[in-house]
Formats: sequence, structure tokens, C-alpha cells
Amino acid sequence: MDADPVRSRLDAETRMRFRRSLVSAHAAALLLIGTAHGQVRGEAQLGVTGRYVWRGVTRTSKISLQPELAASAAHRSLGVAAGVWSNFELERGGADQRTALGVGRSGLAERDYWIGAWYAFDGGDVSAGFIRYNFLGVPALGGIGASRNTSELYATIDLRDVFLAPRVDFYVDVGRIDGCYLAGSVTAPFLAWPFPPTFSLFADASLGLNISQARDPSDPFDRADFDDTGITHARLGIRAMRSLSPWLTLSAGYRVQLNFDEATKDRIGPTGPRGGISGWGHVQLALHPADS
Amino acid sequence: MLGAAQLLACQGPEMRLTPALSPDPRPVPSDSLMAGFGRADITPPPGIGLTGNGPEGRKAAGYRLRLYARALVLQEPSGRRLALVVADLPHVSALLHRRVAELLLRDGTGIGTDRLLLSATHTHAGPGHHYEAGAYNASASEVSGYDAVLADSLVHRIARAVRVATEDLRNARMAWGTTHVWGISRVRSLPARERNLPRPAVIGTPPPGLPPALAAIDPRLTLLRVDLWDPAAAEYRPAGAFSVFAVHGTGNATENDLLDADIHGLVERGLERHIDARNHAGQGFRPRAVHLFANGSEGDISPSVPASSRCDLPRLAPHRAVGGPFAERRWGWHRAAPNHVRDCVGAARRATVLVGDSLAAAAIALFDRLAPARGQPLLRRAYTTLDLAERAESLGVCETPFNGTSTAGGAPDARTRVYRWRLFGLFSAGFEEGGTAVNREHDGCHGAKRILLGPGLQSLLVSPDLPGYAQVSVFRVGSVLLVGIPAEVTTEAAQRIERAVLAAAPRNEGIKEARVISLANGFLQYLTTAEEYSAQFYEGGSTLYGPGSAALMARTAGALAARLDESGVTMPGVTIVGHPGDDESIIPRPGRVADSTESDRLEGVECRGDTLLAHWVHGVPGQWLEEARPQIEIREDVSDTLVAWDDHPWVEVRAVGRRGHRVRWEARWVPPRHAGYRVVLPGASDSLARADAVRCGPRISGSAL
Repeated sequence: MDADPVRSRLDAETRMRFRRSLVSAHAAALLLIGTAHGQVRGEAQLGVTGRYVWRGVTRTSKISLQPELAASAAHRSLGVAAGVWSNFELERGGADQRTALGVGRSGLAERDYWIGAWYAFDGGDVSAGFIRYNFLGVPALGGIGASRNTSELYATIDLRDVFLAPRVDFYVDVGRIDGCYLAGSVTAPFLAWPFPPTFSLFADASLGLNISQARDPSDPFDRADFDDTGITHARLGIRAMRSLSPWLTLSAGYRVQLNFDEATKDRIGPTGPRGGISGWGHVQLALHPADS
Repeated sequence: MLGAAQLLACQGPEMRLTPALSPDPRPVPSDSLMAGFGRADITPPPGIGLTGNGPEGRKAAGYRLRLYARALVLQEPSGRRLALVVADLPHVSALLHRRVAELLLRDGTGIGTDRLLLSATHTHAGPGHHYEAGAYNASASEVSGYDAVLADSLVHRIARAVRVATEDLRNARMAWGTTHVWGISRVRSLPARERNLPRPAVIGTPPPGLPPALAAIDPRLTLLRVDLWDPAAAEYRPAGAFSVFAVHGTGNATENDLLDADIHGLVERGLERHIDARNHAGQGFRPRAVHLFANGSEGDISPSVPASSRCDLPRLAPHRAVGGPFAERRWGWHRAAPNHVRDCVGAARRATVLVGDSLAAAAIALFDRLAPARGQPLLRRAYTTLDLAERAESLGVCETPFNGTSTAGGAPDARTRVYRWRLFGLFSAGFEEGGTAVNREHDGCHGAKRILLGPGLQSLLVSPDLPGYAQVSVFRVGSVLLVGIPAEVTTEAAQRIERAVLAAAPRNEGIKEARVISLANGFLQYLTTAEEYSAQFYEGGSTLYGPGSAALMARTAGALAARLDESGVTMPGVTIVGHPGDDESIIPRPGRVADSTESDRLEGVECRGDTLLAHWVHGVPGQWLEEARPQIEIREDVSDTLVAWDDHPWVEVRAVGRRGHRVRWEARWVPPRHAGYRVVLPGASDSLARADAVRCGPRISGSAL
């Protein structure tokens, strides 16, 4: 924690002004580009997951509902986008479960906002933006509270037309932690039904690398997310996707994660050892612009 | 070409199609051969799947050249009739054949299943959804399903064409002739063809320097010219023709979204317009002459079109997500970019017209050379239904029909999106021609075929919905034997069938030639020789009953040819059992048709760039086109000359929306030269039928192409 409360407050106000300016500028850009070129697109996703895992770290092992609303506006190869994502814990749960909201509680546990811009090129795109994380849990009940709120800048390169469609995400925490994190993933479709309604099966693999977000063991107030630098987790997944209509897609899958960083490992029972492997299922319904 | 997998085509309600055999003929009071022509519009409303390209067959948005069923009925003084029908369809199902025959018998035409040779031109821009074999309803285009109303409409319209022909029966003179047409078609599976032993002989004399794939074709264009007695002129006048040439109806690109008669439509119309001009019959919307242009051994024959006329295939890739860092990647099939589609569809259109016009010119030249003479050419038929499902072993074919993995990738004319698919991008799934599509073990009845999905899964999911029967017929029309095969027969397989037929036919009766007509009386996919089958190209993979299939057809056709007499029907009692699937209402069921108080209405005409655009309101969704007149006419403003209408190679008509419960249509046409044009709706009242003339067309003199 900062030792100087005045400086800390000023920093917070500066950051808040910066964020507000960024959001306002972005909203204006969305509106202007969208109005000028009529290429505003919206997308809504509704996910249900057996556990909410963020960069390998299980934030809740309870069943969660995760809606997202997003909009973008494009002009030729350039676009801007913004959205809001939330996590609702649907079960009250017990002390043996991880929870972001708090033991015995259910409801909205996290609400995140993001804004970004992208540039599309042949075979993929690059994007960059800003994410604001807001936690609504009760720390006294084991939840994640507002003190863990933070902000990130992100940059992504997504090579959609390349073998295994690799994607790399780079995050820089500019709020609570001031550190970097790298994530990479690849996906391989192994069954694709070509007749409408299309159906496909995919396998994907991802890896998380903590570059500079490890806790300082000498600082008892350090609220960083990981114990160590290095590979935090590796994940394998299988996913089925079916188009219900040109605008609606249903997907379901199962993920298995190998946990390397201590922070990614769940304790088995209240006092048991931490597990090296975790697995969970997820279902998602996406309402999106009609596919080409 | 049927694509990828005919998976998930689960068995639905059973359909039983009993044979409706012709009664004994009744002698007629004429000592001359009689003939009559008929025609019926079979262009379905938009919404159906354009069939033949598997998953790449698009949903029809409208039409270009209308689709017709054309019929020629021939009658001897003995009363014996033969009906030849060629429909602008991708395939003919056994359902269509048997139901049409049933209607014709009911109408007292004397034409049953044994006297009806119903074949398809094989345009890949026509409707499916009419198969008794459910696998083809499920997988012949991106629009899946059986449509009972569509099937029924086709049956009634095709039967009407034959009825019109029987009502048109007049004293006739006819003559057969053959010419060779080179340079507009090619063997698309040359490595498979070259496996044949002995090496296939070159048919005819190809022009020097012709590439091997173009020189290996069967170049014969065989044509029957028919002149009918004209009571008004008191002379025989040219009335129409029946011709056979082998070429796939794949001039259009797979991304084409319009119903279209393709290459065959141009050849049909080309000769029809020529005959009308010779008869000074004018050049109205619908020609008076009728030209039936049947497809021959087109199994391995593609039109010679440039590579630029084939569109890039849809590819499976993640969509660019609207959502940001939290969004799950959503994958899907991505179509080619609109600019590319416009270019490849345009290139295909130009190539189609070039090939079609070349063939039409050859047909016209041959027609004009022929001199029909008096005489009474013999009309004979022999017909059978092979029960492949029950008698496979004794017939010498495999018990269970299977598609190979090469079927999934499509043929060079129209690859499918899974062509050369690799599991995890590394391991070939066999969706290619030859190579990993070949079963190196050569085990089991299907030998070299690597079975799509494996024999267990395919026999469970797909095989029950594939046809287990084959209707084969041999018609003798004068000096030519026409062999109707319900499959797409390769050049060499057809040569063997034709040799078998000629060897078995009664000798010394003036039989000069035999021609296989593919896609007749049903659909069984492809037919290759055993040697071609061993290569497992697309055609071999799609030969359902294994390497012995072509030999079976040659034996059967030979046996039929040997019985070309009045008792020519053999094994008549086979009932075809199909499983078309549930009725899916592919075309909208009109709640009510537009009544007389709802006149067509021209909404506007404009010129955008070089293109003339017209919008109008006509009919209701699901309503079929009127046969007798066009929807629109385009006239030159000054001369009032009729220059185009909605059955024209360069006029594209699409249903683009609704006006209340009625359909809003759009026509696009690039005029050949810059001038003033007026659009007229013949079906509308005067006040609503016309708009002011617009000036349109390319300012640089050249062409509209």
C-alpha cells in the first residue's frame, strides 16, 4: 500500500480522469465512425460456466453466469469497440468453495468494462485497449472486494487464417499491480459439418506466462495475482459449436487445466493439499451479426 | 456433384413407388410416323437449394434462364409411343419418373414407366428436394430437405409437357446425324481414365495440338431432326430436335445464387430460335420450336472454363469478434469476399455463354445439314428395374452402397469446402482425389474405395437413404439406340455400355449408333469402369455399388437391347421403396395467390453505372412463374424493339423483399450499348406497367460482358 495517503488520492484522481477521458473519447469515436459509415455491430454473449477461471486462477468454483455486451464501429480496416462483461455467482456455496462474492452469497461478483481499437489485415488483426476490473465481493466472507479493483492495458494479435489460428494476448496492469502477463492459445477444428445449421468440434490449448505480476514475499500487503513468475498454467479444451441461426450460436465445452503457479491451484477440501489439475464445463449462447 | 457427407439423413416415412407399365398399344389411323413436341416451365420460386454442388450449392434468390421440361413423343402407326423428356434439372429422381408415368397413364397417353425416358440436363443451378432417396434431399445443397409440394409440382409440370406433346402429334419426318465438337469440354479425371485397359481409343479425330484432356472426350453431338406436317403451309416444316452431348452442367460458379439452365439452356434456346427464324415464326418470349438437349456420358466431362470462373471456397476460421478480450472465439465458415465472388461469377457467366453458344452453333449447323426423309423408323423399348438392395450378389455388385472419401472433396468443377481437409491440419482425411482416398488394402467388396466415415458408420447413417434400385432402359428410335442410365456415366464406361448394346441388338436392322443418356429415370450418382474406380477420383468414390457397377450396367443394357421387341419389358414388378424424409416446405406455401385486383406494379427503373435496374411487385412468396409471358420486357425507347426479358443470359432477376404480402423483384441487366430503354410489365395494367425511359449501358463501345 502507498505510504502517502495524499499522493495516493491524487494518483487515484488522475487515473480516474484519465479513464473517463479515454472512455468518453472512445464512445465519441464509436458514435462518429458508426454514424458515418453505418458499420455499427453489436454482440451479446451469455455464458454459464462450472467455475470462473481467470488466467489460470479460480475466482469461483461455483456455477457462474457470465453475460457480455459489446459494440463496435468500423471504417475499412480500422475499428473501435467497447463492452461490458459481468460475472454472477449463481450458488451460495460453502466454505470449501472458492468465491469472488463471499461465502453464503450469490449475485453479481464482478463487472468489467473494456474499450479498444483494432486493425484488420489479411489473415488476422491486431487490437489494443483498456480494461477496468471492478469486484463486488465481501473480503470478510472470503470474497474479492473493491480493494482488488484494477485496470489493464492489453494488446492482442489474432492470426485467424494461419495454421492453428494462434492468438497472443499481452496485458499490462496499470492499477493495483503494475506488471505484465502474456497468454497464448491455438485452436484446431477437427470436425466441421458444412451444411446449415453448421456444427463443429474444436480442440484448443492455451498457456499463461506471468512476466512481472508475482507477489513480493517480503510485502504482506502485496495483492498481486500470482506467486511466481513463469508459466502459470496450461490448458486443454474441447468445444462443440452449433449455429442455431445465422445470428445465434451455441457452444459447449470442457477444459482441463494443469496448474503450475500456486495461485492457480485449488485446495482440495478446506485444509487439503492444492490440486495440480482442475477441470470444468461451460456453455455459451452468442447473439451476433449474421455470419458471412 | 453431391458433396461432403450425406450424414444425418435419418430415415423418415417410407415411400413406395410402384411401376406403372404401359398398356398394349392401340393402332392409330395413320400410316406415317407421328411426332409431337411439348414444353412446360419448371422454374420453382426462390428459396430452394441450387443442387449438385453439395454444401456449396447456394439458396436460390431468383433466376436467369428459366428452367423447362421439354418433351418429344413419337408414335408408330401401331400406336406404339415413346416419350423422350429432358428437364432442366440437376438430376431426375425415380420419384419424378414413376409419378410422371403414373399421371400419363391416368391421362390415357399410353406412356408408362417403360415408355418414358426422363433425363436431366444436369444444370447445377436447379432444384433438388424431390428425391425418394433421402440422402440427396439432405446433402445436395446448403438447403436441406424433401419438399412434397415441389416434387408434386415438378411431376405435374413434366407430365403436362408430355401431354402437350401427345396433343401435338402430327405426321413427321426425321433424320439422325452426328457431328464432333472439340475444344469446349475436357476430361476432368484424366489419370483415372488413363488406367483403363486396353487404353481407350480416341473417339474421332481431335484437331492437332489439342491438350490431352480436351482430346480424350467423346466429341459426338448426335441429333435427331424432326420436321412436322404443317397443315396451314401444307408441307413439312422443321419443328424441333432431340440431341445428345456429354458435358457437365457446371458452367456457373458455385457462388451463383440464381436458378439457371446453364450451358444446356443456351444450346436449347440457340437451336430453337434458329428453327423459329427459319420458319419466320418471330422471336417471342417462348420459342415455338423445341430442342431437347440430353446429357451423354458426362460423368468425367467438364465444360472447358477458365480457373478464374471457380470461386474460392468457404474456409473455417474464427470470426473477428465484436467482443474484446473476454469474448470466446466464435468459429464459422467464411465465404469469399464479395468482390471476388462478383469476379468469379462473372467469369463463369462469360465462359458459360461461350461454351453454350459454341455448342448451339454446332447443333444448328448439324440440324441444317440433315434432310428428314419419308419412312417409318422403328420405335422399340426395353426396360427393367434392378433390385440392387436385394440382389446385389447375384448382380455382381456390392451389397451396401457407400460413398468414398473422395466424394466429400468434390470434383474439379466444384470443390467443396472440406477438399483436402486435414485433421488438426496434419493428417489427411482422404477428402481428395486419389492419394489418401485410396484404400491401399483393397479389402472387401468396395476394393480401392476408402469409405467415408468408415463402413460401420456410413452403413448406419447414410446407406439406408441411398438408392437400392436402378431403372435402365433402351429405346430404339430408328437407327439409334438410346440407353438410359440413372447415373453419371464416364466416357469409357459409356463406351463399354454402348459396345455391349450394339453387340446384343438385333443384327441387320439398320442400327448405326448407340448413345448413353446419363441421369435418366433416377439418380445413383456415378458410374465408372473398374479401372477408373481403382484410382478413386471423385467419380470412383461416388460409384456407390463398387467396381462391378459399370459392368452390371453394360450387361443389363446389352440384355435389354437383345429384347428390343414388343415384349421388351423385363422384371417389371419391382416396387421402389424410398425414404425421402419429412416434408420440409422448402418453398413457401402461398397463403393465397395474388388476385386479379392486385395488379403487378413497376416501382422504378434506374441506371447505376452500366447496369439497368428495375424494381417491381409481382405475385406472392411460393408462387410459380407464369409460363406464357415474361415478368418484364425491356424495349429500346426509340425503336420500341424488344431487346431482353426475364429469360435471358444477361438478365438477372431476384426476389429482393416484400411489399405487404407480395414479392418485390429486381432485375439487373447490362445493355450491350448506351441507349434509352424502357421497362414494361406485361402482367400489369397500363398505368402501373410502365416507367419513363432511362439511358443506360457502357459508354465505351464494346460488349455488355
